[in-house]
Amino acid sequence: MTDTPILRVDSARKEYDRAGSPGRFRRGERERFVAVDDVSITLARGETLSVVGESGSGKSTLGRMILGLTEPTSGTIEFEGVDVTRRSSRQRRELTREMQVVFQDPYSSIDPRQRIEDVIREPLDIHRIGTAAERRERVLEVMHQVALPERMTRFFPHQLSGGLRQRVSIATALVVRPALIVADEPVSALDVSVQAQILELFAEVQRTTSVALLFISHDLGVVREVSDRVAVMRRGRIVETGTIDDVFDRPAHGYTAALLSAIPPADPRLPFTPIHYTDE
Amino acid sequence: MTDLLVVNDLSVQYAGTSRPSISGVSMTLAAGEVVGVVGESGSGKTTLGSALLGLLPQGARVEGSATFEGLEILGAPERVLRPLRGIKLSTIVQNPATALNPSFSIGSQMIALLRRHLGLSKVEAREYAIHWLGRVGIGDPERRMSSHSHQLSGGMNQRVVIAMALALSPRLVIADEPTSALDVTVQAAILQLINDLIAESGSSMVLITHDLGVVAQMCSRVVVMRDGAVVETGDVDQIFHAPRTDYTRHLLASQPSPRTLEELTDD
Amino acid sequence: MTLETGASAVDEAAGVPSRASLRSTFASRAEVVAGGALVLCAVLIAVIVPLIDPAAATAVGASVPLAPPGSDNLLGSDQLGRDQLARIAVGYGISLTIAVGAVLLAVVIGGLLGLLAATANSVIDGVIMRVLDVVMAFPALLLSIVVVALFGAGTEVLMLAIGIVFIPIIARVTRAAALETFQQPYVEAAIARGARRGRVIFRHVAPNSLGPVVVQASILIAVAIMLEASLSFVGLGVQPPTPSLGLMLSTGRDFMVSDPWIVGVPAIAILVVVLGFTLIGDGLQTWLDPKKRAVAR
Repeated sequence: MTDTPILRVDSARKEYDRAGSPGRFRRGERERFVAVDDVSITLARGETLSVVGESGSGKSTLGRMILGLTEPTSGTIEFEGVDVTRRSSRQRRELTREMQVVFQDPYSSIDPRQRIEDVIREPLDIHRIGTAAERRERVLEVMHQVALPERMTRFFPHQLSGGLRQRVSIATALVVRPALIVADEPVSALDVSVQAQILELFAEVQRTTSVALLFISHDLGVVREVSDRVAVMRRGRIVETGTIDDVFDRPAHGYTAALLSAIPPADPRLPFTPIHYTDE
Repeated sequence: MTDLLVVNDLSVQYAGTSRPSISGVSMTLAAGEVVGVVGESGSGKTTLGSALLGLLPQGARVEGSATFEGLEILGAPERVLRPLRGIKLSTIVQNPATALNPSFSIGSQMIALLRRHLGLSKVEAREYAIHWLGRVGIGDPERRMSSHSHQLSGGMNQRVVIAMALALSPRLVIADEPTSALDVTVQAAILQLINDLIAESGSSMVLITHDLGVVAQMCSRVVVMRDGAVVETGDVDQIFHAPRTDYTRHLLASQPSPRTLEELTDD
Repeated sequence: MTLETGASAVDEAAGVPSRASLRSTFASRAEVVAGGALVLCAVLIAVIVPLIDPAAATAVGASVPLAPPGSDNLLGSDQLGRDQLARIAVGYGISLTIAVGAVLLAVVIGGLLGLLAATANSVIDGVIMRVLDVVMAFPALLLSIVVVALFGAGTEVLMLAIGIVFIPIIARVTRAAALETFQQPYVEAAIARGARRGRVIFRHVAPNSLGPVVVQASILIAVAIMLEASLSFVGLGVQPPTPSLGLMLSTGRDFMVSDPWIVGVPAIAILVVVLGFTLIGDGLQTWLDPKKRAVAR
């Protein structure tokens, strides 16, 4: 018997109206810009799928559609078997109990006027989970889970470094014990050594909880450590999906090979021979 | 061979701060070398670049010395630095938007630069500019001359900036995170371009970056900085395969890489 | 798409204040303190002086009329022999009450309208702003005169009249600040986490949009004091025998030649408190702005 995948995206498409480029004022001429072009992915319970792509690939738009921040032009999104494509605001709110998010920029994705414990506790307040005492307990529990010292509960975000702030964001995502976390470029704004720590934290969360993770990133190097499977996107389409090892060791698509070869190896003895990719 | 650039015990303290941003920094650069200055944020590597270019904000206190071709450039007055800039010493910045004026076409900016420094006529400058745009890989360069920076992608803008930096065949280029704002495939192409052009012209380069991969592939020597001081200097193979300090080891170990860690730690 | 890494030049430079910005932080703090001192003086006078002699402000004939400032009357006496200092004190009390009341009214109503316009759909935004535009098209004095004409003179009416004039101004400032805050990732994060409209607006948008509103409010208090003085001057404000700074100016006009102090004193009194609030508002504006940028890093 198969488990229902926790997330299934079927032929999702997102188009935007775009006025003609500057200098061409022709009435009625509006280009349709396709950000996401017929994308289908599935994510099993407890699995980590990374969506990798460069700018313009549509990966962030895909993430926003899944989170319900924007609606697909066509196609469906199913969460735990239920079609959530066109969500009502009530449905959207209920869904967030099971689907949480970690954003890219730790400097602007946390309310600067709230203390850390209020930030982390907010999802519990929104969903009215537990008594005040129980909420406090849970906040401390999840802070411990992300290795944030308890004394930081009363701190303000500006007192914390980027890496610590990102831990706060992860704690906030974990506090309601969601079934799925969508992480949109969660380490891109961090120093390299801090990135490694946060990736290790994600790996730890995967080990100790059964949360499914949709990890969006532009950096292939980053996703290797945390993913089970990878989907590579380019210009709104998925060009390749597979297990981490398959995609990295035996890329099936020219663009994936180009992406892999474009990363300069941090070793002067290793060759740097980027493959150039163009679509015909 | 005499060194092109000699930095000795350089310290910079910005106005209103309680401690120097960089202190005791020393390094040398010989003609034709590409030296990488690598560090995380707060390491002071950008301050070093600004100091060398004479671009520190007002009130910054500078100590130590930096000589370029034997001439002291630290704290030198504008009339000494201006003839150097562009012709002898040029720069590639991280964000091409800050180097290019959006109100003027890229062609006119390039022409202005070439005329100012090489004394070319308008026609000559235009031809030379078109030639250089082609060399940096911009397709249909003649048409692109009339484009403005906002009409071009980040990668193309950075190519324009590189063209402007290298068209004057400077002896020394200071590049501060020249590819950090670019997609990785675009970065790969730009790095190759820089490599080819530098090799061809025999220019030297100080390449400031946080990316160890870029350093490994572009530089012959490396200066590792942390918290305003130089932690280790050495030739690129030694830094990556026989690092002498814990910090360098730590920096190397935290690089996420598509290749397995085993491949990286074979020293 | 900019791939923001922790190691950008902007990041390193942003943590370091330039000499110019430090000077302005220092100067702006001095401005706020200076302004605060002036306002405090006025408040102290308003509170303490009436305690010493409650009836002095309206005690006709208690002193020699039109006496210059001296040992009997610290700020002189008016044409009916009433002590100017006592009248200033009561006048301050009334002016400050009206001004603060009017601004509070404007902040509550204008603030709500601004928040609503910023966070609701464009139709509601459009309607609210157009209505406010109409109100703003009326000259302040004219509008307050209309309100007074409708409801009669009196302290509460004055508060209402001036408050109504200010509502569109505060609404506009609030809307601009709220719009900017609304774009911030942390607001989107709250929405993505299922926060209801009310929580988003009152917990996230409003507190982070306060800065410009506080600045505007301080300046508006100064304006309110002048408006009230103007209205009282033309007889549409506070009614005699209740002293009002504007009224004192008005009635003193006739005796200005023989005793300049009779208008000089209320004029300086107005100046002091208006200057005080203006300095506070101006200082706050400079102070809050770079700090906001520093905090954001």
